[in-house]
Amino acid sequence: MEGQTAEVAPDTTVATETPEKKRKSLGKRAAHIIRNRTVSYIKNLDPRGKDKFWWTGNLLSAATSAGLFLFAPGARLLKTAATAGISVGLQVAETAGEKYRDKFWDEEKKAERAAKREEKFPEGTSRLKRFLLGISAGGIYGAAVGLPLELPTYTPI
Amino acid sequence: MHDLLLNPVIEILEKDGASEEEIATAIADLTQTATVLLYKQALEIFSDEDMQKLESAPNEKDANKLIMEIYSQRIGSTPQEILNSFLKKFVQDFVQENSKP
Repeated sequence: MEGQTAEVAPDTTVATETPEKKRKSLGKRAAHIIRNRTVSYIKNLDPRGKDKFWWTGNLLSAATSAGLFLFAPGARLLKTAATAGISVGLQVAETAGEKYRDKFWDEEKKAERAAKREEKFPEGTSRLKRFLLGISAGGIYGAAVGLPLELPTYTPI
Repeated sequence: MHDLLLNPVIEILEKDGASEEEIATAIADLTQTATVLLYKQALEIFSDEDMQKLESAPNEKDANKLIMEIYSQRIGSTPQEILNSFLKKFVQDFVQENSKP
């Protein structure tokens, strides 16, 4: 009889799950994916040997569709919103940094320059990637779960 | 920026039936996208001289300080501010699109 009671007892785990607990659980899972997948993606982000389409267009397009929005029905909307966010982000920096950028450079020239940067300044580009990943991960993770995210400092990028 | 800015997006995704794993993946992908975006901009705007300084900075801490200084001089915004604009626009558009009947 006791066994029967135990078998039919409702699982209260979900019912008692507070928003804070849910957020912590989501945070743990997101942190795991960021550390394992995003860190290695950024580490291997190297424009050398890639053409201008990869660097200027496909790169961002790949980043936004790499599995980001595989689920329906919000898939299309998420992708649209991300694209809009990207264009705003680009606009902010492009407008502000315009005087430091050669406006006559075409996309091919920009891609070539990026590849040369990786070649000439391996440590500098690596530091830049690490720093910007830290900014993005900290900001987005924080905006999602309300907690700071520690990335492993030993991970060489 | 730890103000749960992405909360409305997460709530909508939950209502749409996205699993915790899928939402976590979306957060990671968003991080990846933002990093690529910032990195691409930085490589276009940082001069060779900036990159050389970064290359020869004695340690990570000094390199990070230098990056912030270059951002301030060249772009006039911090990378956090750019990220914030990106996120705000993302959330705004996503919520707006999903509020449609």
